[in-house]
Amino acid sequence: MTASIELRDARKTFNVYRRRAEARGLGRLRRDRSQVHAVDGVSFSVEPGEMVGYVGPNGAGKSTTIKMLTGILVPSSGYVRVLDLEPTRQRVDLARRIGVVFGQRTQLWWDLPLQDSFDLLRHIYRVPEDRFRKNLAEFGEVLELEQFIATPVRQLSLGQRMRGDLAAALLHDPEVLFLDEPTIGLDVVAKARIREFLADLNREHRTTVVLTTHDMDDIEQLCKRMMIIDHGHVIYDGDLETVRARFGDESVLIVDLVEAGPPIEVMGARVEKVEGPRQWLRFRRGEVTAAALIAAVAAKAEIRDLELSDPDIEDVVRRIYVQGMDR
Amino acid sequence: MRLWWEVARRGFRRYATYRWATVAGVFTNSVFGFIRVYVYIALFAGLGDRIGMWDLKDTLTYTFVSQALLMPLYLWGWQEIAETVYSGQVATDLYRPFDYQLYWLSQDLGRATYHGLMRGIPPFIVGAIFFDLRLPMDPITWVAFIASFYLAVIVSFAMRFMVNLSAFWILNERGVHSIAASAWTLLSGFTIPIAFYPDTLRGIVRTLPFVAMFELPVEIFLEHAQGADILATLAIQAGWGALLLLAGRFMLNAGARKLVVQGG
Amino acid sequence: MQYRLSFALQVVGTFFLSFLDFVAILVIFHHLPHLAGWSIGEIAFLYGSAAVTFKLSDIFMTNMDRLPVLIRGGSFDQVLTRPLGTLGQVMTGDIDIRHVGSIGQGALVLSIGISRVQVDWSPQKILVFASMLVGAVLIFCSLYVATNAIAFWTMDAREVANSFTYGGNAMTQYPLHIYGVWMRRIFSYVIPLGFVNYFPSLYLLGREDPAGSPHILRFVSPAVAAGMCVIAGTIWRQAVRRYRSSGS
Repeated sequence: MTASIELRDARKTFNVYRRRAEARGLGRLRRDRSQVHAVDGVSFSVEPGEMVGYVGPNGAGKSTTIKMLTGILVPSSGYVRVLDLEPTRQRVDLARRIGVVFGQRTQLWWDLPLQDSFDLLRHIYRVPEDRFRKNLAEFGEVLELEQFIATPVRQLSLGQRMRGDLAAALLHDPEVLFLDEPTIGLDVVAKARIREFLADLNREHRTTVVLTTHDMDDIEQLCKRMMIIDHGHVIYDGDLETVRARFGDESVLIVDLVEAGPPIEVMGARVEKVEGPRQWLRFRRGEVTAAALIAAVAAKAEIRDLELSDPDIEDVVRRIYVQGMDR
Repeated sequence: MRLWWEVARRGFRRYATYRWATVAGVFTNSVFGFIRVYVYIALFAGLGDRIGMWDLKDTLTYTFVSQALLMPLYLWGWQEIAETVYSGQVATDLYRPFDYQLYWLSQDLGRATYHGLMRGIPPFIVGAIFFDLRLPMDPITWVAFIASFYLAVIVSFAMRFMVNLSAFWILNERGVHSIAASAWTLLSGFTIPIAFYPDTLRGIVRTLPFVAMFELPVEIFLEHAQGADILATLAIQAGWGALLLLAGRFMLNAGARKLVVQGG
Repeated sequence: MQYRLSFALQVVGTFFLSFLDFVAILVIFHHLPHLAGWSIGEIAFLYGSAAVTFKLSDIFMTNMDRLPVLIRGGSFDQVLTRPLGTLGQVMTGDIDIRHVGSIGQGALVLSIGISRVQVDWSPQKILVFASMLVGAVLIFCSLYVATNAIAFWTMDAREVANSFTYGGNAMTQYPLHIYGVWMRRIFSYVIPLGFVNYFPSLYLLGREDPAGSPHILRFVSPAVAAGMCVIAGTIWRQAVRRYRSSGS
């Protein structure tokens, strides 16, 4: 079976021009040209029905890769195929069979009610009436769109808009779905709902999903396979457990005690910093759950407030570089 | 006084950053100048010598002077104040410890200076290269013209100020603005010299404030106004400027009051 | 209610705005009965046909103005993910019917012109007239597309586009032969605005061209229009290719 997505040594280089700020007079007109290798030789393939995570720090090349796969950007060199089509040359044919959701931008029409956007998209993608109705009913129910389907998109909350965008991207039954930071800026409840929806989608419709994200919890809950990209290279391609096991998955629990005191000692956690009544405790999620840690801390001291910092891909990437990978 | 100078400088510098827009603008202004002159050449070819005090050379000069004045007077599309009303920014602006109208006026004068230098002079030079234009020889004319230029900007600002303020009452200031723009484009002498109008019509149009924007400065430049006439022309411009600025202040107060009552 | 008022205001506004140039023509004809040998009826014919066709293409191209906003905000990426041509999507993004007011004015002047000129309206002449109007819309639209594509290269120089589109409209209001030699040549053979109304009108109004241009030019405006569409399409495609290579 041919892969849904295949990249071989894909590269994308940008020319960046910077004006010389220090030069005087006409010298300022000349510009320094430097090259940025946003994607520097990326190769991987994704089988139909897979759900993969594509993670990396800011500027790693995630969005650039997605743009090359969806036909927005033309690769500088390399082999790029999605559903056996070349995104550069066969943009329109490919567009019919894929769905794209950008976390920070919406594809919905700003001033129109959500329903109108769906209707417009039905015509753009030429979805048969009955399939459109069926899909809309299904997504509408799972994503609970009924409450705001008549509201203009500009009045929707971020979470509602994201649900609308997801439905919109799937109305035409795409074989591959690209998601660029879909949970960014959402609250915990909204994130959970989106994740549940995506898991169901992959399971029941066998849609291939490529998910780029900053948030390790997205990966944990959705993807068996993840690829880590940094500085244009894929530095890891495998499952999350291996990464966790090797590099730990550290989080920080920030507690505000009722009164300042000595660093709390609990199993599995190390106090990193103390500032008056506030203490930063670093722990590994594989070793102790957040809940257990909080209970242990509460047993030792009176907590007034606490905050759990999300697991961070930058941490993991940093540690991969520091400790090296077993190839 | 120092404050207004600083604000004017800021107005100048703000527009100075749009380098490519300026080059594009000079090109556009020049092209339109070329398109317009040939109509007048055809007109005088059929007519002979003069229309009133204007001969062909005058009219060609007028064409390029009016093209040069176009951006400094910002005839079309200046909606900055209206935008602050719609965004709510105006509420903050009105609380600042300096005069609102003078602030915008100073900024506009700085802007007009930049536009006059960078988008006014170059198209005129282009016109002068290709056509036989009349350049004033008398230094007094130049001084008077510069004064007339700034007075014209003040008149234009006062009108634009009031049209923008309509945003306090009207949802779509654009509509009002385009009607106003039609009016002052035609009646100021930009589309065609008021001097060419039939007598009675000319008399009526000259009583309106719009002539202070194009027709009067051009009359000074062409040296149709001499001696005491120059002072009279400048006085008319100044008079209209003061009157319109005053009207603007009344309108501003009305708008500000509405803002307080309605809460933006 | 307020919205309807401002809508009406804008229709009225555009109606008046478009009278501006024609007032200039009236003032000019106050001084003489013929301009460069053309009567006011004939000039009205030229002016009216240019105005109607230009305003029509202006309506089709309303959304072109927003192209820089689309590009800068990254929304053009969205356009690229849809299974439709990019030009079609940009054009149909917004159609501003408030410009209807100015089409009305153009049509009014054109009909006045038609009524004032001595033309024997044979079937051939009607055919040429109709193809002149259609061709004119296509030529103006092509000009719009080709010049606004500059937004893909630089955001600031957009005004240059206006000098071609609005400048083109201004210059087609008068007979081509009043312009200087070089301008005439450019507008005949490089930016073929002469085919918008002038050359076909020579045939329709039974006039000679003082510049002595070949007789065939009066009938080729459909071909010119088609050629312009092809060129504009090519320029647009190149512009989009550049966007896709450099990521804006």
